[in-house]
Amino acid sequence: MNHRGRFQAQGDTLEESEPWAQNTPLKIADGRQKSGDLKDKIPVRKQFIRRKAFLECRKFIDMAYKNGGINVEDIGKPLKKSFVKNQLERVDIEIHKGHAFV
Amino acid sequence: MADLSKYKHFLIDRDLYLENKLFWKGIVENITGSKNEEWLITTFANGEDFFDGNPIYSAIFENEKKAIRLIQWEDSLENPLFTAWRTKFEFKDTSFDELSIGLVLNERTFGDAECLLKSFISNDPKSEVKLLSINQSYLEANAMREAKAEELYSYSIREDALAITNEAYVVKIQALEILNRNLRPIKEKKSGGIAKGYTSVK
Repeated sequence: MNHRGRFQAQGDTLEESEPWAQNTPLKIADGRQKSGDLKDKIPVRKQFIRRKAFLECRKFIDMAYKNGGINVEDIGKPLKKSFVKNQLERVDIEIHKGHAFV
Repeated sequence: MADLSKYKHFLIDRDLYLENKLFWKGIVENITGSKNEEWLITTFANGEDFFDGNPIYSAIFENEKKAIRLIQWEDSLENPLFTAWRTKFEFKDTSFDELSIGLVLNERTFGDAECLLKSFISNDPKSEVKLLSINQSYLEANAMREAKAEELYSYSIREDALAITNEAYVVKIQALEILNRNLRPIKEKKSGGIAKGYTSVK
């Protein structure tokens, strides 16, 4: 697959992810959907702790879209971002290959 | 020792941001004794830098199968003062050990970050213990910041709710005034009991 990455929710007692691996770049709507799906996957209490982290993650996706997305292919470097709340509770975005948020 | 306070507003001054990035590059190169290039992308597809400190600097050491990632936050209650974690990840079909550090830069957090970086890069067997111990030392400070941020957040919600209630009250008064203007007294019935009240004007 030419376009790969994942959203992750991590913490002391949590590890959930929402990956993508496809032949076309990840569209902005699908990126928003996946981050929303990840949020829905985790217990409400853990969602609450991470609500600002999810918000920052969503803002980053929107910002990326306004700037042509993220293209890790041309630069040859992956993307890793962590939105940290409450010391160890966080939401991560990783793009390993291709183009996302277009 | 550099004057770290000058990086306080690193997110609103792009020259300062780049200087701050070079500061971390210098620190890491001083520890490793070699030149390092950032290994994580920090630009959008149109070439614009994120300029958000996430990460402010990163480096990979392919021979040692290690990587570091430094995230710097502005000094806001929304952000923890310091936290660090280690993870494994796959890169070029090889498993790497990554140390990530998130911090609000000050002398104490810088000292702890430097300690963890040195310990991690030099394969110190106590590296994991140091990480746990340093994280532990920030638990209380981070919890206090979080609680204060929550308090301010709740307060802002209460203020918003109060503003909405006040607005609803004003609308209600206006509606009553309009209603009153459109009402006229009902004439007393000629027969039967006394009926007092109002009826709407047609």
